[in-house]
Amino acid sequence: MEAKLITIVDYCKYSQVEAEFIAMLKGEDLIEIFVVSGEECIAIDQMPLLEQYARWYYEMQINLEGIDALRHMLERVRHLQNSINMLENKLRLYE
Amino acid sequence: MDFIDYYKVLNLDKSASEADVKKAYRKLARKFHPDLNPNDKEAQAKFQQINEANEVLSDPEKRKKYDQYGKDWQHADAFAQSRQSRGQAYQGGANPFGGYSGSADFGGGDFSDFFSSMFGGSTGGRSGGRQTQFRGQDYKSELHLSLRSAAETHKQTISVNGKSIRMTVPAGVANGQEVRLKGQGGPGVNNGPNGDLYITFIIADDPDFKRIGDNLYLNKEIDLFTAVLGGEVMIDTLDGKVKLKVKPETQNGTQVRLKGKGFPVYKKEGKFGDLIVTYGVKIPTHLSEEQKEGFRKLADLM
Repeated sequence: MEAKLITIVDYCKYSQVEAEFIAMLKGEDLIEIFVVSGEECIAIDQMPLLEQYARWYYEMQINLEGIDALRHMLERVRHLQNSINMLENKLRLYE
Repeated sequence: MDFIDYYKVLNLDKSASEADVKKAYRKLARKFHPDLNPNDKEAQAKFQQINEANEVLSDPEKRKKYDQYGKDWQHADAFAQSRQSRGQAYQGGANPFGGYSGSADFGGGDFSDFFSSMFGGSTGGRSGGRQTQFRGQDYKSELHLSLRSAAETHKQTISVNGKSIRMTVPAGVANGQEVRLKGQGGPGVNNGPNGDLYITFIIADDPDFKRIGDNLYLNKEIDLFTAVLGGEVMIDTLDGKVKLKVKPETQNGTQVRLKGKGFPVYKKEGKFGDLIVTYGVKIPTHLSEEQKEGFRKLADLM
């Protein structure tokens, strides 16, 4: 299925996110940018992720390196949470 | 409705500058922001307070009103009206902060009654001076299911922000599993896409079956004689009763696996886990003297 895209110019116009910030995310492989007819675009599906990074960057002043580290840490938290859920379910067998 | 000490929430004193407020907010947001504390309701509640404190203390007009009336907030508007009637200027009128709009799309959520009462109907706010004016707000909701209803694909209607949404719950969803309903969140602005609705399934414990992944576990009591001599027992499965043969000399705690009688595998139609039956041998109680004698004779034979 083809991804729905929005140009970065349009996105930045309304979201108060700077194009430079999106370029920096791209530089760190944190977000994917598509070029369609010479215009840089992002997939609509990536917007929640982009918004999350923007919140970290603009509101909490977390720099790009911090964003990358947090991304990894949150992924680990998710894995650990899944393991805890599994273990809790197993423990219920003995309750 | 209690007074909220916003300075205390941000660990600041009343002389704090705007920069101090910003710094304190950022420091606490990095600790309690819902993005960084997934599924932590305590952190989320704490963040709402921090967000609200920042909303008030970083806005000079709101902060002025808050500082002026403090614990007498209930009389704030009355004071303002009486001052106006005496011909004194009151900045912004009786309800100077009404009409604020924004979107709380990072989970800031609702503001407290105290805030709403003092500053008028709030619609949330994206702190730090940025407001999304494009993609709609994401909503989160929980859907509570019984184990048995989670085993069948069925339709459910849920109400989120006053809107009824009919959704299909696929058989095999897990407790704590989150699904995203694309575009079912808040409306987008400036032709932006709608936000998404995230639903977390909460599956209640079942009195009979325990579930681990796609396998179900069932404890079945059998009497001593069936355990020793063998026999048949009826057991419940999700799709009806099944007759099981019990082998002679079955030990307490013996497990029998019934392939394909467990929980449906999520989004794999026709695939099921196993049902694992654990036998618990029931020792007879309240024996008559004659029955005890029978056991003694049996013991002598062993």
